[in-house]
Amino acid sequence: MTDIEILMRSLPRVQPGRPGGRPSDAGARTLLASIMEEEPVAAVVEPRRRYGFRRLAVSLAAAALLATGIVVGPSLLQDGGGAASSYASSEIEIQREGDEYVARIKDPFADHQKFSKAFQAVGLDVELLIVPVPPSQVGLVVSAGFETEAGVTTKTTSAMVDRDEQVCKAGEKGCYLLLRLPADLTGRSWFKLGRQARPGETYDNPGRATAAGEDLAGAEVHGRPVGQVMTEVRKRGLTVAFALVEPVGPGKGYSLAPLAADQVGDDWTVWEAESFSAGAVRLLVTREHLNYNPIYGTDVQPES
Amino acid sequence: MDDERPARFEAVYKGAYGQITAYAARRCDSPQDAADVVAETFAIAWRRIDEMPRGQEATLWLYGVARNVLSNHRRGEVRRQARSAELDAEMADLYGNSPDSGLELAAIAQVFRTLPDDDRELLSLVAWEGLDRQEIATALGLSRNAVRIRLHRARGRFSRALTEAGVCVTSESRLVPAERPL
Repeated sequence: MTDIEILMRSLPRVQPGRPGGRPSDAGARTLLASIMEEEPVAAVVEPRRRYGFRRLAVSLAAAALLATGIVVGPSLLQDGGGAASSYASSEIEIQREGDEYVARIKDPFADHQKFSKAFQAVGLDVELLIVPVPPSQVGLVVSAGFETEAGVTTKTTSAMVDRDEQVCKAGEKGCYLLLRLPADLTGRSWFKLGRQARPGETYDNPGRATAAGEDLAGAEVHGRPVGQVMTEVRKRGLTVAFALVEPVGPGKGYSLAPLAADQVGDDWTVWEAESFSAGAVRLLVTREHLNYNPIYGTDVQPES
Repeated sequence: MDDERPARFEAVYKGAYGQITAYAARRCDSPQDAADVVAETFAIAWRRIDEMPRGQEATLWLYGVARNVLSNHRRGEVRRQARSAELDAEMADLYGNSPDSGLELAAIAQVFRTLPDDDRELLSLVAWEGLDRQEIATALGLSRNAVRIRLHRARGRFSRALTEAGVCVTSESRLVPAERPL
């Protein structure tokens, strides 16, 4: 502790080393009881197949982040071996933090190829891809992929965040791309950042068609009969495609099978509407009505 | 539900309550804000109990949660637990005794408030919560080296800001025994 910090010890209303409240006090006991009335959220179940809960991935990853600051300094530090342990330029900073590499990229849209070079300097094969996405996903990290040995789980974080590591959109003031990768990652990995699609361009990552700014914005689709949703789809002049949802079980994800429009009955149930390209949506449906929405985790069911 | 979780949470709650309330009271301007931060920190801890580390690290993890709650709270983005008048009153008790505020301390406090949020948090975790570098690293999810570098820079910025504000931290004005090493 420095002199300054010793002086600082006199500042706070609760002196260092002293506790604030007592857990035996009435307010503390009431709080404990009220908190524990709710069930804790079950651990997120990893989707077994291609799709399950992908929309939750970014927000959950962001929720799990702890706040960190930003250190910027032009440097390339050697750790004694061949590769550098950190890299920094005005656009990108990569630092070794424990078992991870943490990259902070100020303007990921700008000349993104040079970012691969920065990762190469610390021995990682990372690619940043800029892909066309629906309006509600522009400026967000939409997906990430890794080449790892079978059975190996790769724990990473990738999101556009602000100084307090809250999710924001690329282009907003102070918003940067944060990547956390295991330092022992050996295969290629890639991250996709969403850009506005050109007219007619198919979205790289389908979006929620009911989100603000999308083709079915504000429409109620989740758990509704196909007939009702189709009325809204026609009213808005959209083209439509279908996919059959095959649920694995509540909270366990699902898979999708192709489905021709003439196979779908009006009494089937819509669980999600995805935007495909401007003016085109895809409805994810089941023949039977379920008592939960299979597209979402059981703890986060959509409102409509 | 896993039967062991309520007991584990209760034990952590009772063990860390004093520290988390002190943390909140040291950083919030009003007892109501501090009560909100305490309530939301523990509510999140309960919701995420499966992520909560075992043993001593649980308290450090709670500091990290509290830090995020506080940041969100400052931006008015916190989900609030139901208010409890009793908790508000108990937090208000902590605000009854104003810290000793000599002229010099008031000046230091003023300069301290001008520092970037991250600097203040690091310096506070050292001076107020008494955490060492490794503990701060665990609480904030940083490497020990990152904490060392950031703390060094924060100290430098605080020191320069004090000098610029004309606050002289000399051996005469120090509030500690003179034989303490610099």
